[in-house]
Amino acid sequence: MVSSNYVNKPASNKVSYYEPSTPLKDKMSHSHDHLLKGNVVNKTKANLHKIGQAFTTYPVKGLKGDENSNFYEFLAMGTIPYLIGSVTMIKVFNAATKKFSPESQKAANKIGKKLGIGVVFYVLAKELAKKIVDVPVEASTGIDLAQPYKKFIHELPPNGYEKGKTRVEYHKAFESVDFPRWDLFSPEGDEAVNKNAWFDKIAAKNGFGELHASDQEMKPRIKELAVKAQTWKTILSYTLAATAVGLAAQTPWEELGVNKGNKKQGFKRIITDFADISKRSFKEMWNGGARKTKAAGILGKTLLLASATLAVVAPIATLAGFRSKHNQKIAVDESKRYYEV
Amino acid sequence: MTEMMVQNSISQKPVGHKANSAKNRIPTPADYEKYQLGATAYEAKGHLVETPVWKLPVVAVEDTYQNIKNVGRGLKGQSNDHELGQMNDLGMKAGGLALAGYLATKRMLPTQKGMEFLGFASFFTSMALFPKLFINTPNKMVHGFNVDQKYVDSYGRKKSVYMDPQYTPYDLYAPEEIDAIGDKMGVDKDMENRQDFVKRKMSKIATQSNTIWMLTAGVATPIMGALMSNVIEKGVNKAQQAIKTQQINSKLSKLIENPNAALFQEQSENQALKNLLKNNQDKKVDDKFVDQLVKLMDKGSNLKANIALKQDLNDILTSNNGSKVSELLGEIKIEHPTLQTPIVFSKETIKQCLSEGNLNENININPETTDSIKKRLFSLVKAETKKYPSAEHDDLVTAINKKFLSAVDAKLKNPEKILTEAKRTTIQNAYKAMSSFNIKQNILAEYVDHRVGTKEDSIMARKWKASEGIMNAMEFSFKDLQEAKKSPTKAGEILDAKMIEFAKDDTKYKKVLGQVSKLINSFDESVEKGVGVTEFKAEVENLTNKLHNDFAVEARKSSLSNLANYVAGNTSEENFLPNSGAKNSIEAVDNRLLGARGSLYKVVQGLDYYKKLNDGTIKKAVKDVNENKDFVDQTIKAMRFALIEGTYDNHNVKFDIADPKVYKAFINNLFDPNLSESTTEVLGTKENGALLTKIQEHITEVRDQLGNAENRFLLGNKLDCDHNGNYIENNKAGKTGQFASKGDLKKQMMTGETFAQFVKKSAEQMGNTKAWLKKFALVGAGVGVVTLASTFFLGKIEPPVKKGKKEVVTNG
Repeated sequence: MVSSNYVNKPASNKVSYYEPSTPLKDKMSHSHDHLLKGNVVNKTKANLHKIGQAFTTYPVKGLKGDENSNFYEFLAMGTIPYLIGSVTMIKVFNAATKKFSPESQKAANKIGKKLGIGVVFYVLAKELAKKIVDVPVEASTGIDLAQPYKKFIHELPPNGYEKGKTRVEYHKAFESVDFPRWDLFSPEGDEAVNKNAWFDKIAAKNGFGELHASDQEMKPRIKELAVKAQTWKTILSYTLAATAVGLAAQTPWEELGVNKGNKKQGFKRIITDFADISKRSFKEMWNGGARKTKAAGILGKTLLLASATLAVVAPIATLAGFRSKHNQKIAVDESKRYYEV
Repeated sequence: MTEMMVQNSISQKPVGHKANSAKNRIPTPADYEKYQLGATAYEAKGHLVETPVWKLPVVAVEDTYQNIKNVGRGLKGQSNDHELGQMNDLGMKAGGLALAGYLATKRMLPTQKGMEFLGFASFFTSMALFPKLFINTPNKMVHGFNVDQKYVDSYGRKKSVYMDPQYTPYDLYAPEEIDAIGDKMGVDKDMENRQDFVKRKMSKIATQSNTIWMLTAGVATPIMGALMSNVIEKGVNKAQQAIKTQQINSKLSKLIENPNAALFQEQSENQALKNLLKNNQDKKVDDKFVDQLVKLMDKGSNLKANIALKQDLNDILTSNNGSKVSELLGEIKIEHPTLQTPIVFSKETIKQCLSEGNLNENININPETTDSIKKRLFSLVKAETKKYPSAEHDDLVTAINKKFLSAVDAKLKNPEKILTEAKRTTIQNAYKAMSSFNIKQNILAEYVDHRVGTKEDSIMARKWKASEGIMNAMEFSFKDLQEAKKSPTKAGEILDAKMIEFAKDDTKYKKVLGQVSKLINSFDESVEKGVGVTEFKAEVENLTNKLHNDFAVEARKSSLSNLANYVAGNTSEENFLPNSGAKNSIEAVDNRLLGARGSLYKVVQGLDYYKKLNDGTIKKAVKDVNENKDFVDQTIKAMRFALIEGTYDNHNVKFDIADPKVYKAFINNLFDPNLSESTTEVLGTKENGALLTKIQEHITEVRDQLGNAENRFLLGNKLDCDHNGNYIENNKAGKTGQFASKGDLKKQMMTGETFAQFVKKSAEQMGNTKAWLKKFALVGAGVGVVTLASTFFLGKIEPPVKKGKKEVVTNG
């Protein structure tokens, strides 16, 4: 804070909220971070909130150079180039084609279409990779690595105000492996009958039975699980993404949405068309593209096999070792005068 | 207390200054000693990192290596947040590379293959370069600090200083540095707590810059990447072209040096052929088998060659090469109703009979030898029929004789196709010769194709920059290009209007023609240099002759005489058959060169035509044929149409001129080597060299071949004429004429595409690039300018009011 002999505007004769108080805002200003149920509704809501803010509030704050801007906002804004970049990439290709001659347009449209499909596949493949790891992990251990929580940010008020804004952010409890939000899993205060209830549950589910300090035993394991999961998700997501874009580059996709004469249109038709084209694209990629070149065949097979293999290996490898008992015993080594665990 | 400090020191101490290597270890007595003697706080290792531009690639490699190592830690569950974040970058690059690699394998041309990687590289480069050029550098210049400043923390982790606005490690800056930044920002030097104020300003600028980066990157990165690829592509093309030329040339020179080298033999055995032969050895084979053989042996799809080969294979298989006459004849059995038991001549009997008659058993079967065999064997029948008294059994004897001879005939004439071991070897040798010829021919074809091929990356095609130059010389605006590329008709209309305009203004006409002639000269020159026309043609011709003749010799050795005749021509007649492969490949080179040049000459011819149309020369010439106004108008209209919308070879088809006289006037004036005065003046200048003569010769040649009534009207077109061009009543209607005389391919090549198509195609190429550039360079430039300009509006903070001047309020 700048202080002493210099004074910042506005004059600090007004002691108040930075923004008009409403009952909701008042309630929010006293709210604490808490876990949300990890269901689809909550996760979708959290995602939409984040993307919505990333396109509206955060850029405004960022452009103003707001002192309350934070790292979360910066990361959230990372979605902007991701989405705009995808659209631009397709536009760079497709928009210019309008001025091309009919033949060039046809050729360019084909490539453009595949490019568009490629971008969509890329996004889907990356999401799929997360699910491939997270779903088996939750089913097996009971730990939802994408566990959302609601965070209340009590912003610093500008000079002259007593209270700043309170804003909501949606985070994931395990998004930081260095600082997982363990506190959210251990209720405090009068309601807390058993602070370790959640850890007890996890320990029991994973065959550790009743532990004296389940949190002590489980925390390092969960942390390790989160790191492994994140690593595998990264490996898997880019392998799947590369495969998906490669798949979208196959010739059958040129037919997508092309009206083939007297066949009935409609939703059912779109689905069957899509399934048929997907099938043929897999085949084409496996066999080495439309021209069946050897190199394309080898690489195509490699990408497809790598994706399939990694999709199986990733969740297994993530879970490996989670339930193993540590062999180290707690002992007192008098000569060293300290404990090693 | 000491215990705690020791533990802290161990966990924080970076081992060997390496990143991410701080690990728990058991303390040694030295650790305790250190703290007991004089405990001090552990030294902070964090520092700012400055990376000069030239070191960026090195740092990128180092960072990537570090990231790869981190994956290992991640798989063991040991990574921290920072490492996991870095892993994402690595994944993006590895995934991108894998994809580029995959897509490259799907591309046909090596340049296209390269561009997949280049596209990938330029995308990532522009991702890194855009913020550097448009955000970081301008900010550094205006505000005095790098908003993308990196630092390494005490644990060796590299991070951005301004990544998290809530945690900015300003203590890594020396106070003097902050002061200097403040000076650059123009912050009041006397301000109290100046450093705090400067830091606040820095934070604000950094937050704003980061936001601008996020908002612009999505648009800027793909566009910048695409523009970059566009530029780089040209350089890469050139380099690849040079490499390819070198490779192809070296292959060819090896071929010239030693055509029999092992290099030009098929490297791997044709397993399918080998199996087929092996499975059928000593078996009777049929036509289907021969077809299979042809398919396996001849990998080209030339029908004529296939027919020749099939004939050869049939000859090989039916010959008794290696099998004895007695084997071919086998046992001969004669049955007749009056005979109680059939008469049987065993193989041995036949063999003995032949050897007694001094007939070589291994003799080749042909009509002559068949006769002598029949004569000799007849003695056997004679001996047999002696048993029957002649008067009573005349009929029977005649019948037996006949049956016997026809049996011999049948067995010798249609010997069964049996694949003997000898034949198998012959076929395998034949295949060897064929595959080797194929390899050699492919090398030659590749060489020719690389130089003058009709593909976009042949040397000649690359030298063909003329089209763009001609369009520019003829003043095609962006709007004209957009119109012209719609259809050849549209292109023709624009062209017509332009030519009329040029012809009216002599100065302009000369200027346009001057530019066009310059282009033709430079094209000729570059083709001569790049393709090396004269020497190149001779080279190809010699090698083609040699390869084909060598193969013919080999093929005849392997009993492939039909194929040899087809490929190299029957040497007993002339050197080459008219349709032989050798002749065609030599002509193809000629025609390609002529075709390319012809397209350019056509522009000159067109300009000249409009000029003569403008000054009335043409009208006068046509009037000389017939004064009738309709006739004159019709002829001139046809000429203009033919010039713009016609290729020379479809004059007969498209320009259905009923009157031979009109046709003559039409052709003679359209292809008039007497060029207009202005044209002669421009083309005849010194720097144009022999261009005038060359064009005149070209026009004369085309006129002679196309306009020659003999050729045209004797082909059985809709109208027939005698040699003098006089109309003959009894025309054979309905037949359209195509050139059928010798060398007609050459004529077709000379004709090339229509003028309108040429303009349309050129407009398309230029228009597409321009349209693309116009749109995206504009958007890109817009984003760039806004981003740059924004720099000047960043970091505005109201400076605190100086004490004593206005109201004074102590704050806290």
